[in-house]
Amino acid sequence: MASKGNLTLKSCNGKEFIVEEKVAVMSTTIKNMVDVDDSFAQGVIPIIGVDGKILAKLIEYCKEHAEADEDEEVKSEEYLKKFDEKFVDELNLNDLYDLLKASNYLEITKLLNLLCQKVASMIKGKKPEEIRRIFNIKNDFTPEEEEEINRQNPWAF
Amino acid sequence: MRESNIHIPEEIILLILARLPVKTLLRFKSVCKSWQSLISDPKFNFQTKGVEHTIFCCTKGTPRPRGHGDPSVFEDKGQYFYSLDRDDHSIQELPHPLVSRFDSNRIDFIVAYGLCFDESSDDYKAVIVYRSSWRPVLVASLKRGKSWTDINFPYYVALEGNMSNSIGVLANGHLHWIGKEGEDGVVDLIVYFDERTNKFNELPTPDPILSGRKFIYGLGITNGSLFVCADGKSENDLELLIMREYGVKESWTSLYNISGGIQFIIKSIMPVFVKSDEEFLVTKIGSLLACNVKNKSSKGISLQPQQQIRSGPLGYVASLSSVY
Repeated sequence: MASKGNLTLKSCNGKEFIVEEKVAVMSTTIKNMVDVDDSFAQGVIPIIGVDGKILAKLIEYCKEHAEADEDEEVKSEEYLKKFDEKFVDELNLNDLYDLLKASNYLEITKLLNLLCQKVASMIKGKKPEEIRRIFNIKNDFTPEEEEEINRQNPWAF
Repeated sequence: MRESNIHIPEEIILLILARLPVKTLLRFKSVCKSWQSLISDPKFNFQTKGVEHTIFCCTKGTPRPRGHGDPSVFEDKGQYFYSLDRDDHSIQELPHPLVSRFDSNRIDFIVAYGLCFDESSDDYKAVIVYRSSWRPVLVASLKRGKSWTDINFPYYVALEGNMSNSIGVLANGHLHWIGKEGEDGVVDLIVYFDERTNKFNELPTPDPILSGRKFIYGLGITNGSLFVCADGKSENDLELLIMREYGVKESWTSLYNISGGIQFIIKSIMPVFVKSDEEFLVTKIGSLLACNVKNKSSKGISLQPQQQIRSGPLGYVASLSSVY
């Protein structure tokens, strides 16, 4: 059992992480659980659908930001910006998608915004066929329909 | 980038799309049907904080001498709209859905025009000022009516540089042009169309520095503030002034004082936008120039052959909204 002020988070594949409460409540979902039911603060909080690797990444991010929120002098805005940049740059595509879904489910708004911005800048200059490949989307337009859409917005191409 | 087998939920797709520029969104309409409906949904408010671009109007085709009773100056009467990237100066053609609404045979008689949005009636208004004294100004609402209404216009619009007409500069919701009181008067007014009242008014201008004489050569907008090119402190100087706070006379601030060197260019130009502390863009005799104040040089921005800027330019931010 975690000591006072700490919470235990358990990934879907059974890995447990003991984290400070201020770090864990960066997630609005966890914060709501702890606020509503005291027993969560004592026991283990299961994080459904998030494996140990992704949970470790989430905790790494939340730790830096929780500490920065507490003491601005130790971790300046500039430091955080650099940390964020490095954090997203080191992710492979699968981890990026998993983190997106996990930060959406756990409502870690700051991280969700950061990851969405990363994906947006990644796909900005891409062609529709490249987007389909990246997001595993099936083209459900007939060639005629696709041509019609492209004709309506000639300047976008 | 390698292929993935992961499915991203729609709510996250929306968050990502909301961070993309309009041009990319229009292109992504053809990704699949669900993306098309996401992007086309008017209820979805894309927080597109677009970069301000510059738009101008050009002709294509060969110039032809003007004859009596022949209003067309160009073989090809079409006017084409272009977008200028402010960073790399690249130029791209835009669609022009409104042009077809004008009577193209009379387009040469238009000295000024513009489009503005009236919040009070939630409608767009188009304004046309004709060269002749007959029915000088017409206003049309685009959503309802769509017919032209005559409006009293007690001024003369001044044409900048070698422009054949002047597109209104949109600031604070109003359309602005430089003008004069009489036909032979000095260009010393900034007149604007108040979209709520359908009336024309004057905006305070910078104080004349030379005794009672202040000639305004051009009006532009940069980052939401109006700016003018006007006579400077001494006889041969020119000044670029910006109105920091809309409608406040005291807020006119001098940006550059231009003496000698590039000044001869400035006299026949209109300013487009201020790019940095040192550089600004102007148009001159149908072309675009980037002027550098510090080293007093100017550099042309190349247009396609046979292209001549006919009006504009002005700033715009792309949007997914339709005017209809």
